[in-house]
Amino acid sequence: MLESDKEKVLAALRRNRIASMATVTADGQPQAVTILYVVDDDLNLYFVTREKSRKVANLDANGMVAMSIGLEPPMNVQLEGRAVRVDDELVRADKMAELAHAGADLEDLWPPILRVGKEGYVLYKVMPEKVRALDLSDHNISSEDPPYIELM
Amino acid sequence: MPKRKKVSILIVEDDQLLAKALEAKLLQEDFDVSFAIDGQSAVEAAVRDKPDVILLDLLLPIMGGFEVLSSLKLNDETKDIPVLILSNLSQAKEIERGQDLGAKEYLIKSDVSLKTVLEKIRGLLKL
Repeated sequence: MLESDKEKVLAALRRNRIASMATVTADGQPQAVTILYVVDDDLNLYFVTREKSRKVANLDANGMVAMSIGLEPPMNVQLEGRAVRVDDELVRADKMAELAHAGADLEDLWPPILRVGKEGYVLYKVMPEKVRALDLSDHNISSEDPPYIELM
Repeated sequence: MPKRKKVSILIVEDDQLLAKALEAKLLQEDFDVSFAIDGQSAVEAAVRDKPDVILLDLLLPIMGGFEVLSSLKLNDETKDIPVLILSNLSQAKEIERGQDLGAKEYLIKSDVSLKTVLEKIRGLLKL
């Protein structure tokens, strides 16, 4: 992995705060949701949801997720990996505070998690197993040779 | 030149994620922020600190938000502090009760953005 490529993708992930995320139900049906996330330096993503949400039930049965993130800056990041619950209280406090700040930065979009809270929160860490990013600033995008940055 | 006193907001909210997001937003806008996570400590904080605005949730431990509002309005020391309710309770009777008890604004969490909350606070304070 080229460090410069990783930095480009990290910059895109840090600039965006919202991802479309797919999980699968216990019987294999797909479910897509929108999440608020934060990212660490190793490309791990963190998101919070409610204990009673469908995604928690899905992730309990199958931790694999797929995400599509953003068009700003002109880059779409596609990430596949495994989501695991975070129980460490210090990490939870740190990441929940980061997520709260991320939510506060979204002036016109108040993430659903901040509107319907009050139930038990579950924090997840998504550890990527495959990351690729489509650089949409490339003016010569073609189906034969799309300008993907492959990180994993 | 003396430093201008910051506008102080008391956030009464037991949902820590939402309280942190509200705090982050209000600090960005240079407000002074304090918290109460239950109704009883909200009343105590209001009497002690005399915030410029109170952002009040309704479903709270120990003492509910309506009771808090009622208590604030019955106390000469706190009756003039503008209260903005921010709640998931959205029934007409609940909104009416909040307004009857003296809330200046009643916002439903699922209907508003942080930007709207901020605009309402500024509107209350005529900033």
